Amino acid sequence: MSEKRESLFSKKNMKLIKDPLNDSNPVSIQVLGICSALAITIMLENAFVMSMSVLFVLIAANVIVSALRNLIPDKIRIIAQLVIVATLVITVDQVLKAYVYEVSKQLSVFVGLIITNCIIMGRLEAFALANKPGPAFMDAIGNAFGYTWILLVVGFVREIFGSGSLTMFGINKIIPDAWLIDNGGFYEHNGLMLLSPIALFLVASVIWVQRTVNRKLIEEN
Amino acid sequence: MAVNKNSTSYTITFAVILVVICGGWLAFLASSLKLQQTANVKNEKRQYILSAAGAYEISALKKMEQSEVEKIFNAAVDSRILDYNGKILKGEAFDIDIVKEYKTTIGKEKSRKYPLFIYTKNGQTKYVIPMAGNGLWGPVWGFIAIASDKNTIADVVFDHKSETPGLGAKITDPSFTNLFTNSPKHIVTKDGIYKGVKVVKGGVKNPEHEINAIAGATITSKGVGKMLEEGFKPYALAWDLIKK
Repeated sequence: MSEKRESLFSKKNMKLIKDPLNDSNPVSIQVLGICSALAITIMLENAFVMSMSVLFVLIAANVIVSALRNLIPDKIRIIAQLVIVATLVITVDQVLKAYVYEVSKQLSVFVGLIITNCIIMGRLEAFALANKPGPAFMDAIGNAFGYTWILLVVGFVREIFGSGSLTMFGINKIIPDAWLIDNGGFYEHNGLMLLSPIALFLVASVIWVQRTVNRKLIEEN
Repeated sequence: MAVNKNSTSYTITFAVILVVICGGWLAFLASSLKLQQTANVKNEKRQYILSAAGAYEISALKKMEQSEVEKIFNAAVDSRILDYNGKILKGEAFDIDIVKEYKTTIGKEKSRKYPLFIYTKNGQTKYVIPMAGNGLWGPVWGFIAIASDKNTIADVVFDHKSETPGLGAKITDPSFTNLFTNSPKHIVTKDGIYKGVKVVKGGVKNPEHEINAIAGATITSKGVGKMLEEGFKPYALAWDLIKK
């Protein structure tokens, strides 16, 4: 092939990072990975650690699958991808358990969820199988951060209004005790914020705001 | 390449090679990290016991080296294993995995082994009782320290495998654990009747033996409650507290 070698940071490749942040965001536009957005956004810290794990798994899986794309037989490509993703997830889990035990305890339930995260399988199927490792790497970063920022927004709102804290920054109490109804005040933490359904409302609100700002996302009909 | 990617033999070969590589890697990883992982679990157990006994704040213990925690633990903590009737059994109490022990003996409480840790410092003694129960998603367990009168709860530390953050996971939170120490809780009444500690919804009526459940975490609270209601009995028998 006489194709000119493309720089990793060419305009085309940078678009792979930028698009998933807004125009083709995996959560708010493609509506993938919603399950984990519901489950792990009660606290900002969990959302963050989950996002970073997804970042790692998505990058590694995208690059590996892309490197193997000419070797993987079509008939078993999905299961082959699944084996690679599962291996990576267990690797993350084991390493966390050995070296950052505290974090691994926080993540315990959620690590398994990474395997089933539709964003990862979606990107492997849609992008890595048809592109070189370089662009696949950029695509993984873009999508992982597209996922991350939504999760952080949802986690931020849920933790502040649900528990009145931001443990990630060492803040255990945002609302002064005297404000609480129990202590004769006027404020009560919103219990709904602690339950999964609220994440749907919040993601929907994000979609609403995003489409208001970014008019080209609105379908015409 | 001349190989036919869609042939059955290629597909099978590829699958086998991929699985062998992934499986081999995971086996290697698991065995090489195993030592470190079990050390972490043991270290955490020592931290919980020491912090329940009031030796150190948990945050201070978390900053210590594992070897340091082990040294403090071995110097200050004695242990034994009791049976259901409070008789002392042979064995090393620290090696009992409390979650496993409770899980494998459901319905056979009489054959369960009950570990007890005794913390002594400057003539002050505290008894730390580990126990386990079921939460919503997985096991919950705790270390309950009893003061030297062998009846009053001095402090508690709870932990869980996978309770919901913000709901069931709040059992580890001071907002819950402080309920045990804000006013004295006893496991046996003045008249020598075994009561344990109940976790109740909708208002505490008997403040010596009851604490409030966590709102929105009914099943986790029930699990913790069941464990606290029944778990003290062998120890109360061993200490001869039960008169009726």
